[in-house]
Amino acid sequence: MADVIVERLTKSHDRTSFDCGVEELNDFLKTKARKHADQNVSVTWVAVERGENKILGFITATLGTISFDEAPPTVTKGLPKYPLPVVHIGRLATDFQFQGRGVASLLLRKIAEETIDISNRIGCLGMELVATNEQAYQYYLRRGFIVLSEKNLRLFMPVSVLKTVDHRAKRP
Amino acid sequence: MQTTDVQARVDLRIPEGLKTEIEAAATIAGVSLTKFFTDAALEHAREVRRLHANTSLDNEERDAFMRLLANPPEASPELAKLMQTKVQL
Repeated sequence: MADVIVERLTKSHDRTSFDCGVEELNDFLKTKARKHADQNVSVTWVAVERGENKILGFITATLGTISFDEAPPTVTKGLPKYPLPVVHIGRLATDFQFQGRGVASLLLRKIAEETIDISNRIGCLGMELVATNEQAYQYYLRRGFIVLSEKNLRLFMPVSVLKTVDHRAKRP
Repeated sequence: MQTTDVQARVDLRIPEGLKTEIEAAATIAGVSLTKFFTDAALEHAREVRRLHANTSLDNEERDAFMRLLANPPEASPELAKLMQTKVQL
């Protein structure tokens, strides 16, 4: 049994054999993910067996914002009026051969931990994503994601909640 | 996105050469120019919206979001489990 670990996508990973069943996601991994990381637009993390280069799944994150169509009334208790910072999960996909084994959860865990670290170092309210289909939507709801906007399946997880279940060893 | 039976008109002004090129492709694909345009634009529109990292909330969503930040829920057991995920193959 080999541990599955999450690491940053590099050119040594095998991007060509990845197939999650969605052409657009496969294509993103093959042609854009590394370019976007090189350009510092977003970072793609991949799940691999330790020491192997076969990509089992990937997740792409960048910074996002939450803003309001209309400035909130005074109820906001001191929250600034400018757009509020969040970690945005742009893509999450698992190779169809490895679905149902916790790969997506492992990738989400990684970004959740990054979100906690970013909030401690720079400040951000949580992580946010758009579910691409009903199955994914239900998956996130079951894990406690909260609906930000029903009309486009946009979901949110407050970093304050993540911090209560952070199981990493305390860092110096 | 929900669609309704109510029809709306879209007028586009594009160079003739482009129109000819697109029409030729629509003919090859065996669909009308309208369907060809709509499918291509819709796919792109959905992609842009999905990837957009900036969320804008209407007033109702904004108020719910503010309530959430003020009173975050307890972490669900599923979330606690997710944060301990280990995978072996």
